[in-house]
Amino acid sequence: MNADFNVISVNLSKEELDSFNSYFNKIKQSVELRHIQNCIDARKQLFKLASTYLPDLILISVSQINKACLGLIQLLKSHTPLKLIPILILSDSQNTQDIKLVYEANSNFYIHKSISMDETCQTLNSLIYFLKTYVKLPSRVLL
Amino acid sequence: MVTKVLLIEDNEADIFLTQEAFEEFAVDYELSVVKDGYEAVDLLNSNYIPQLILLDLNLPFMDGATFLKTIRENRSYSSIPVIVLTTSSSTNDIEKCYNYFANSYIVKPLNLDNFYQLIEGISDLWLNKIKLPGENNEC
Repeated sequence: MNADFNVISVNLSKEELDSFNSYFNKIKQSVELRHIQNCIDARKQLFKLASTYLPDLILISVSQINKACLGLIQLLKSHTPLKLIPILILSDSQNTQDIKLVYEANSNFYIHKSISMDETCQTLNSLIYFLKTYVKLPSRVLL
Repeated sequence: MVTKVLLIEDNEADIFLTQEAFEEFAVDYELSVVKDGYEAVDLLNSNYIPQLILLDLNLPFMDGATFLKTIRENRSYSSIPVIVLTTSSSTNDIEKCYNYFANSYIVKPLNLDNFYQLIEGISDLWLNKIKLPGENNEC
């Protein structure tokens, strides 16, 4: 964990992963994205990782809010110590019911994917700046 | 689209500063203020559903952590994002609030400029970039 900010990302497309990595390289932000392919793999791998590695943020990317996504959030939010780690949902959906369901499952942030990948990168960077600058992150204060 | 923000804070100076900073940095918002947890629960029960709550911890009658636990246990309000904004940097308080699913825990800056920057940051991120529940007045 040598980066200034550590993220476990789940279910990012190759384009998203490449864009985020190249954006953070371009603006010289030290952000590590440790990627897990999908929500099902995430269940096993996150629990295994939790004994040795706790990120500053868990980012879950989905096209639409579905059972696999909600199930993963609920599982993470019932696991000690993973329940303390903030979860960001990045989704194509702007449906008000989807947003409500994600927050009801105790996700911390919901960002709608912009048509422009650069704009989504900027929004993600704004969130990371906010977390690093102002928020008492469990990974830094409690664990 | 006006974003409804509820500030739960008993310190008059902090209320004034927060209102002033919102006027300076936020657009399309409606900021309501109550001074303790019971008053906040009454407001929610009266059908006022905010889209974001800024919550102090050291409140009279019902403290902030108890209020947070109360709304997280009530399905009508459990989806409302809550930012804890407090002077307490105690790890007990931080852990308790994250265990009650606070969306963020922030220690209030003592410096006035830093406080304004914080409210600018909250306004820019939470009112403009992060999607909030209840855009059709439902939570």
